[in-house]
This record gives sequence, C-alpha cells and structure tokens, in this order.
Amino acid sequence: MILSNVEVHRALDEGRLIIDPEPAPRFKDAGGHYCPYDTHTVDLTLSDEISIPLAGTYTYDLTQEGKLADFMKRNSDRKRLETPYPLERNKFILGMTRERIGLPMLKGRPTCLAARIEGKSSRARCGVLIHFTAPTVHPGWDGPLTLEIINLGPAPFMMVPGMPIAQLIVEEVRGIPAENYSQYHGQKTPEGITDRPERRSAPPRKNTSSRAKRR
Amino acid sequence: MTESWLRCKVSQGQFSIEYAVSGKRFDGEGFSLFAPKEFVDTPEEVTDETVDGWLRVEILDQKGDLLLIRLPRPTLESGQSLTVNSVDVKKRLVRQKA
Repeated sequence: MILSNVEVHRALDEGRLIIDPEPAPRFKDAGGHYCPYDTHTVDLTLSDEISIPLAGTYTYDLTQEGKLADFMKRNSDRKRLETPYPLERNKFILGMTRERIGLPMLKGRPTCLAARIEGKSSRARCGVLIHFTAPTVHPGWDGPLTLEIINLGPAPFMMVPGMPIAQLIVEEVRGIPAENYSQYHGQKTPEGITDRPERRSAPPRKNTSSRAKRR
Repeated sequence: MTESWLRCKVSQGQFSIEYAVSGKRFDGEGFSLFAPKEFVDTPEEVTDETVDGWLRVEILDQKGDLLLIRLPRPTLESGQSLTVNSVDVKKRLVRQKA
C-alpha cells in the first residue's frame, strides 16, 4: 500500500523512514512556498556531484566478474557541480540524490517499508529521464540514491544542484522479508554450495533468480 | 561486539562517497561493487591505483571453512549474499559506546 503524505510524515517521526536532510516544509502555507510533499510523494533533490561515463571504444562486459566496478570507474569522470551543468542532448550521466534514504527493518514491527523513485513530469516534458530500469529501493536500504539520467529531449537541460530532481513513493511491505539468499546462485547456506555441480547440470529452475535492483 | 571484515581490493568509486571494491568468492570467481566509504578500510590512502583493503560484512552462516556473508551493497555481478573462504575474513573487536 502506498503511503499518503500524512503517513510519510508519521513514518519519518517514528523512524521507519529516514530522509536526511528531511524535506521541508511538510505542508504548503498561505504564502504559497514550495512544498516537497505531494499527496503521496516526496521530492528529492540533486546532489552536487555527477559521474560522466566517457565515450570510447570500450565495451561493458558483464561476464568479467570482479572487474566491473573498477572498469566503470576508470571509464568515467567525476565532476563536482559548482555551477549548473548543461546536460547535452543524448548525453548520459549518473547523478545522486542529496538526501540519504533509510528504510530500516525495525525489530518488533510486523511490517517494513520499501520505496520507488520516479521522475517528475516537468523534467519528463523536457525529454529528461531521471532514472531507468532501477527504481526499487529495498527494505533495509540506507544511503543516497543513484540516478541514471539521460537527456532524450531536443535541447540541453540545466542540471542545478539542489533542484528537485525526482520523487519518492513509499510503500508498506506486509511482513518482514527473509534474507533472499536465492539472489546469489540459489544457495541458501554455505553447505548449499556442495551440490552446486549438480545444480549446474540440472535444468534451469523457474522463479529462483530474483536479482536485486541496483541503485 | 565484533565486526567482520573481508579481504578485498579497493580503488576510487564513481562518486566521492564510495569506493570500487572487488573480491574473491570461495571458488575463486570474482565479484565487485561500489561500497560506501564507511564500510571500507585501507591501510594506505586510495589514490588512482588499486590498493589492498578490507570490506565490512555481515556473517549470515558458517560451515567449516566457508562463510555465507552479506555485503553492504549488491554486487554488480550477482546479488548481495555470497560465500567466501573464512581465511579471507578477519574479526575485529569493537568497543560499544557507553
């Protein structure tokens, strides 16, 4: 069930949801100032650091196990945004939310929270995607959210640190999830690996590989 | 209270709050991830070169010389829980705050 703005505030007050720094104000006042909370979303803002993948002749090869993170870093430039950054057409960058998001699984509570990050319509109308294919924030997550940003629009788009860049939708997870060991080669305990050769020769099992969404 | 730390290789991450970390599973295959800096310890400063270091992990299960661990972030290759050799994990005593 998606949390309303009132329930988001309650979750913040109870420590079930952490957004740091906490968006404010919680409600619009008569002065009409910007309020980051909508009926069931809360805006998140762009941090002052981006990562720019370098153009080149290299190829991402996901079979190069153990080398991917370093490879990605070596083929990207980190940039601190001291001034607005014009994101050119068809350019892809990684951004990050200024806010740290925490979805702690608290002992003694029958439920926990998950979340999804979504773009904002005003940015979408300019042709800018704020994330793609990885919107899920899992229960237990603690950290800022990485944004996969691409400008598919007809003109450059100004990226301004601190600008509202995305919105968070918070959902209640019924029950507390068990550790999903199956996301790693189907093994459930260390001893599970002893039958790994058998598993390799067996037909692929259905519904066993639920890879974690990466942020 | 003890913390568990996994032997790893460390280099700069894509953002300043993280490091690129790589390690070996029990079967010698590699994995890598971007880990928040607070989960990484290196005896020397991380510059442009890869250095030896340690990654704070949670031990979920143990059998003999094998440990099932949970990493602080999902790997880029496959999931967040994996099996490593216990020789690659060290324990560190941590004083609890009063």
